[in-house]
Amino acid sequence: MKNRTILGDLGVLTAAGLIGAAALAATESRADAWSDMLAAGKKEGSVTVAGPSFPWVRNFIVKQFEADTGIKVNWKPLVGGPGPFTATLLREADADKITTDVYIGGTTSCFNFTRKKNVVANLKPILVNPDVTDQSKWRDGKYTVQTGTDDDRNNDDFWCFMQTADWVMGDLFVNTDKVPAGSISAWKDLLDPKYKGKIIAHDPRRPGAGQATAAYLYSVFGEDFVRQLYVGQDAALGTSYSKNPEAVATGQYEIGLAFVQAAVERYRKKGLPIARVFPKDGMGLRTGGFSGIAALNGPNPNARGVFVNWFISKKTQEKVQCLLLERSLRMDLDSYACIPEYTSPKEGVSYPVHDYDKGHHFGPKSKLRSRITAIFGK
Amino acid sequence: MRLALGGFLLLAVAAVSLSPVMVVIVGSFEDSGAWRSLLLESGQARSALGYSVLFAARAPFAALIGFLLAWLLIRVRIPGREFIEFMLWIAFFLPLIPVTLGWMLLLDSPTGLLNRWLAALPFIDGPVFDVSSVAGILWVHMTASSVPVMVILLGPAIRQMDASFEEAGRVCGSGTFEVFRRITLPLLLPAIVTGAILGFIRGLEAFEVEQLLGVKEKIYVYSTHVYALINWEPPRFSEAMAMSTLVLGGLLVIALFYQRYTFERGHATVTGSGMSLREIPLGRGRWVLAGLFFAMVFVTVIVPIAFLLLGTSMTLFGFFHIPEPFTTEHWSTVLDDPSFVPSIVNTLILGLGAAALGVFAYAVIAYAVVRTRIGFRPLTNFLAWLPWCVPGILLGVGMLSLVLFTPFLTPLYGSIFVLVIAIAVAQLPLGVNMMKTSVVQIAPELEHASRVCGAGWWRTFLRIDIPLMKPMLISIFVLVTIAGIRDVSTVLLLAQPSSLPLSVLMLEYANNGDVEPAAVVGVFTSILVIVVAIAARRFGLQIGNPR
Amino acid sequence: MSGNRAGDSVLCVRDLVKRYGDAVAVDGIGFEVQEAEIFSLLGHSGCGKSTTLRMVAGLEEPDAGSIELRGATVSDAARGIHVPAESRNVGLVFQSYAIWPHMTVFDNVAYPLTVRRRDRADIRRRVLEICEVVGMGAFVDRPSTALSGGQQQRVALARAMVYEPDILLLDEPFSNLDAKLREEMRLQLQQVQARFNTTIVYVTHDQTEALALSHRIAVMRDGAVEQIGAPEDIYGNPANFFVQSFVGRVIVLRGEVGEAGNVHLQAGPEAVLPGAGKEFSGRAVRVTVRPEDIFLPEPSAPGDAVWIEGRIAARSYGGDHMDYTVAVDGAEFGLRLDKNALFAPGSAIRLGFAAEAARLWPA
Repeated sequence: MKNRTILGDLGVLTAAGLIGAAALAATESRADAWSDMLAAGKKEGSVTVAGPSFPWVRNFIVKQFEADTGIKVNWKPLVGGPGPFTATLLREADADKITTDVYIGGTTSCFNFTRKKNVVANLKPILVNPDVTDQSKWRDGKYTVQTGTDDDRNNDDFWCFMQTADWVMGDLFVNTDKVPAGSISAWKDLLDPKYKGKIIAHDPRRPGAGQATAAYLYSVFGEDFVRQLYVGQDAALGTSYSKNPEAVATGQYEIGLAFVQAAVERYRKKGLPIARVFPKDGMGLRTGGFSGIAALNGPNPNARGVFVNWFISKKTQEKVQCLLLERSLRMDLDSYACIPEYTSPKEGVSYPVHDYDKGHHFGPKSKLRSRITAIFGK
Repeated sequence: MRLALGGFLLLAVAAVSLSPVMVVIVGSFEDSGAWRSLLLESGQARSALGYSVLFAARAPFAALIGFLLAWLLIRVRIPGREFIEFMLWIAFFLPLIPVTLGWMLLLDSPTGLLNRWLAALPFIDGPVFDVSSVAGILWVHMTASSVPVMVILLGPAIRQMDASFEEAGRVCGSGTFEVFRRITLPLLLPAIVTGAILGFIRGLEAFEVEQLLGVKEKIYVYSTHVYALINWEPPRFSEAMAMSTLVLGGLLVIALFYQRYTFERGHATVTGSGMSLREIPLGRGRWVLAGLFFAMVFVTVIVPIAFLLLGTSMTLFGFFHIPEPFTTEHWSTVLDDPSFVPSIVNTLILGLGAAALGVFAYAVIAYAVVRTRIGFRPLTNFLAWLPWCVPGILLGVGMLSLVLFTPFLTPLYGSIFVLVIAIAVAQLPLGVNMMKTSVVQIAPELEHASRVCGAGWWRTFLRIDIPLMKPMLISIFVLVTIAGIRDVSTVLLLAQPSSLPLSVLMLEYANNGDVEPAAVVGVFTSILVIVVAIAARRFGLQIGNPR
Repeated sequence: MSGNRAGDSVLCVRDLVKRYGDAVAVDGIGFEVQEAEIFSLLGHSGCGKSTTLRMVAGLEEPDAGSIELRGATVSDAARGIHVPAESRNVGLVFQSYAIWPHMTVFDNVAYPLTVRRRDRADIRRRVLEICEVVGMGAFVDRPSTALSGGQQQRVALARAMVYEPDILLLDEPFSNLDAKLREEMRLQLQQVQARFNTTIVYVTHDQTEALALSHRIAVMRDGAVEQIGAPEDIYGNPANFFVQSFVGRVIVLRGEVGEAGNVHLQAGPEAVLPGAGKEFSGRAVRVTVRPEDIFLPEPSAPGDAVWIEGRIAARSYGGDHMDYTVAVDGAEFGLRLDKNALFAPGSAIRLGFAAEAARLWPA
């Protein structure tokens, strides 16, 4: 019996050892996969990345990626928004000659192509760097990914797009000289006739911040409210991410809808009177901003993998979140101090609408888009 | 043989000019709703067309003003007129985006400097000027390009007009201004009409100024509306292309009318003997004129450049009243940008490459159309007009399809050569039509003499025609180079990371409101342009380039 | 010399036709040009002479007919042969000279040789030599824009001859020069031709020039050849009324042929040509007389002369002579008389000519 016990113990030990070894082997194989990928990526020599048209983001990524991996980055700025890029990409795909390996940007444009199997590659097998594979380091202990393909929307094993940051949209700003603190406590306060002609909004007919905020309001308060706010209050619709905040900062308009923090910060840091306001009945729209990443079927499949792993690594995220002013979804970063506090989700507040949410995108947001010319005119 | 040669040329021209247009026309029918939406539903499309026509209608006025200025510059010995002339070239050559930025700094409402100064006066309330308005857009266009280009285009006609026409008028007892009104003006009217029509067509494709100044006030024009449609998510290509097809139709009518007009008029007044023209003695009056001209040049060229330079060193573009308004940060941002130097190289390759390729191709096409008897000439001639009718961004889409789906061109995709071709194609109408006026002026005997001397067609073209067309070749080379340096819309879709030019870099900065570094890039673009202009001047280019 | 075999002639043109749309510019002409011959195509402007020359040069393609140069067919519409101008080895001097303004005199003249890839020393020697011959030796380095008309003409000639073409074609080369210069150039052309034994086809509308210069002349009209012959033949023995009235000056008189072939001129009761018009019996005729055959009723006048009546319409003083405009039978012609023979304007004049000097043509 004793023998058996010993044998049994041995068996347990062996089993435990085997399991441990297996775990170790798995990690090692991941590590092998990563070094293989790195070697193959170096052999390819370069990777083409399409990303937001922020020169300072480009400068960091191009310099740092090459320094870290020895692979060169060809950067394609999404000049004039993602539209022209999407147009080019889809044509390239038709000709089977995609030149871009990685896309970094928003989700809206992504819904136009990330589900096309010949355009986008599955992220799931690509994530091999030991630094990124530990999902416990991420919010809620898992990656935030979108799944599915054109022909199979429910294919959960196909990861077409990964969100790397999460924050609260700049839905509502005021000029603090003209609009005293506390004078707006609910969204319907904006319907006050005294604000008529004093509101400037990023054009909701275009994709981007303008449409995101409008879709949020549409989803929470309905079409009537949106119509009263934008049309009834005679809101000016601008398309410039810098001119709109400038107009509020200089007092030309008193209230601004759908601003991006990068532009707002330019004026706020210089002491101009512009501030975020949080009405109690709508604390803001959650979004992933420009933080999404997708792997495309470009010419450098290994360098592409290296780039994606590098981009979502701790070291890179630490820096990129500050450059984009978008709070990373990684929970293990040393500091989040560079992020404007008004974009960080507040404790204990529920944010019912998320711009990256499939349900929102194909639900209220699509509804709004179909009604867009009826509401705002062409 | 003639048919085969003609067919070959026709196919070559059609490949670069017709295929992008076909992509646009076919594309407009891809989405069945596009035309209905454009014709019946889209108020903005209609308003954009209205504004386009409104803005383009400046062309006749610009032509008249330009003609008057050119006439004064050529006929009156105005002190410093060479400098004035040079500044007009600069005005025309400067990229529109930085110039517009300069004007915004001065005239923006309410933060523009001039508005602030005026507001400080006791009797003025609120901003006086608003550059983001119909008047502002017209002002920037007129001063930055429309009027200077007319001076440049009409100069040759004035210089080449036979002086005896005017002398006859004087002998008959007319004074200087009666001669101007009753003889010079009517004689040169064909040239002025030509200038006005060309200006009208070019006005329709204007993009940058309207994009910067118009969008905020909902002033959309044809080209910015098309741009907006393409930036829609997903891009509304079909509607953009339907709109383009519509404008294409309208422009074709104008182009046909123009060809007919020039055909009927010939070029009787501009092929005079080029005798030295009598200058009008104006005594002290010429100093007054010089003063006016210098004031004009100061306001239209020097002021925007100065303010552009000022803008590059401002912490926040246009904010003069914040603490520490000035900084050198933007210069170091741009100079440290690793894309900056490659962009300059790309821009130079783009401008010079397109000019070299273009000048040669335009000369061959113009020559073939005017001088040879190969087949299909009228059709080839007509096709050479087409690229003008398509806005740059759609021409880019067309080129993209052409390159991606033509097997032997596909290897070029991603290289700067595609951009070079695109710019050369975009300038095809201007190049071929200017070149034609030059070919017409070469007496056929000069070529026949060479043939009889034993030189074949090709050698004759290279040894006789090309040297005789040299002044025009230089003019066109400069124009295409500068178009290549300035162009944004045509190359936007075609530019790849390795072929990104300065203009796209400028847009990358400006796109997110980083106007200050964008202005820095604009300064460098302007420097390139001015260098080209000076080089051209060295080659003896001047208004009317007399031979 | 057998002369008529194609092999002997430098240029042989047969049944040449050229149409521009519906208009026929050249209507089936043919001629041969012999070695070292100066052959002129003479006619009014628009008669097709320049077009013919350009077809010979290869600048126009004939619609029918053929052209042989030194026995080689260079154009044959029926066989679809058209050798381009640059391969024909002909020289051509244009009416407008066509001197290239962007080249110097030297470069202009050297051009045909550089095209033929001669070596540089050879080119230089030959260019200088030919420039010397045409009297432009001192001007070789001038820009061609700084030349007078006569100088441009010489350069054009030098350029057309420097490569010793098989045939030299001249298209109204002197028409833009003043009379004195024209005379000078004509002499020089003759000297150069004699020196190099050049074969020349010369197009002109100036009959004096054609007569003075040519070995043979083809008189052309409406795209067809009216007569080919030596200058003396053309002048003295014209094939038809057109040739006679076009070449040299002529007085045209109207007449009627009566019985016995006597021709009664309307120009006077005594103006009768006895028995001259038998083949025109009973019909109206035109009678032509050269002015040099006219004489005044002086004692020396032959007795059997034909006399016509006229009136002095105008006169002008010419130093050693007097030029009169005489009206006869409703037509006017010029008459140069000795300064001693004085007639007042308006006065009647009687003029005589020998019956043999007159020619009869159907009216």
